Amino acid sequence: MRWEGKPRKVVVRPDRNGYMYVIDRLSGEVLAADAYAYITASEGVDLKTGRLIYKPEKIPSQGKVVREVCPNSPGAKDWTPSSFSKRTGLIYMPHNNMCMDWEIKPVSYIAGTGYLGVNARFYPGPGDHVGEMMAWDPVARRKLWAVPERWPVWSGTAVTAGDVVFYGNLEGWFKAVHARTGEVLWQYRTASGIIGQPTTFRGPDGRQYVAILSGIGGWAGAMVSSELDERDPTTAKGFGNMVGELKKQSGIGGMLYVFALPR
Amino acid sequence: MFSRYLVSLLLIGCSLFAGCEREKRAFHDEAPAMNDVSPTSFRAGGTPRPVVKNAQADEYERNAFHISEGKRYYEWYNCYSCHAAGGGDIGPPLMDDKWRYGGEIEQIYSSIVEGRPNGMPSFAGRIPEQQVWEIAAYVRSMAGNAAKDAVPSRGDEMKNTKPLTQIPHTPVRGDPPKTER
Repeated sequence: MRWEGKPRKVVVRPDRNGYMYVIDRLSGEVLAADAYAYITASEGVDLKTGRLIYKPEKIPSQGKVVREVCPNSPGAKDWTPSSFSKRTGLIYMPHNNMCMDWEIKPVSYIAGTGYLGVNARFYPGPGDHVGEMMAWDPVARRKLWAVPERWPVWSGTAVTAGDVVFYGNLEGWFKAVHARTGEVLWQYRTASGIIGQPTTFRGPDGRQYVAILSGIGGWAGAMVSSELDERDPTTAKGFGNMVGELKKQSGIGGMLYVFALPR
Repeated sequence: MFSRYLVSLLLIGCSLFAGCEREKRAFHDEAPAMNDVSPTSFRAGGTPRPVVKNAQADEYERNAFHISEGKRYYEWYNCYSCHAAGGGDIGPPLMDDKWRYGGEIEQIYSSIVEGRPNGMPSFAGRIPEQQVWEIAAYVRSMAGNAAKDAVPSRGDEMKNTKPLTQIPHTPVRGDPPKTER
């Protein structure tokens, strides 16, 4: 992409820590790391070393409860894949807006049991959306628009050559968003929350199709898929504090939906 | 002077009453012997099969020392890592009314010692038996099924659930859960 006027071979990565890294993919030099989410856990990234500059008061230690750590452990963006459009030049990222209070406890190493030692409680970050599907311009290094969501966005995104971005939310809505303006063009409520990746392909009849697996699960959806108890805020490593309502909005499921795009 | 007499009177009076079960510190008692207990009460023919109760084991869920030790061991043996503070995580919740393998203290003891499918390890030979009874008593208390005067009312950790003294008694269902994984 063009970096400071000249074409440069780069890797762009929305990191879990809330920074959008632009890295020279030949030398490894960190060219930029801009915050794309609300961050309290670190000051920024030292571009000379590429290392995160931690805030000392947010560094966890045993027996201490550290409050308002943003982003929280799933990250400002978890593993869910983003997509990039060569036509618009934008990155479409499904991501989270959450913070946490956490406490480090002593933990025994016992093979066969979890080795974590953390008590955490998650809650929404500033603003009343816990997730959003954001369009980011890597050259201008800023957010263009975002579709706000009530719940963390745990699905991937896929963008087509027709300038449509597809993604799904935890309530089960599968959405088609205009890749340039962010307007939601179409949505369909599937039977269960979506944590899959939309796939688009050309069928044997020459028509374009888009497919999505619907069925809630993953870390944010474990409350529903594993029938956990929301009375305990440390359930599912902290999600218990905030996703209890999801049980009313999505049941469990497992269905593949394939939609044909208009000719 | 008078107050000391009063205190001794109260202590003597207390030891005479059965309510002092909550106060007993059984440091060196032997663990109750475990009889074969079935993980389910579901019996062909309609009437549920009752769980064979162990009277000595039952005391554990009325004793403050055992329940608070159970809380300490629940964290020490990493029960938190799969069950959180009762709400569940990669393991099922322990504070609700769904018990795949039974929710009476004898059945909980059995689950800890034997292990269960889908990831519950067997702790036989790893945790001393008396400690397993204590952990089982604490697990009972998370669902509100231990004596309310024996249950710790607050913890030292970051506040998670409601105080255990306020969790309502959660019936132990005899039926298998509706959704099986």
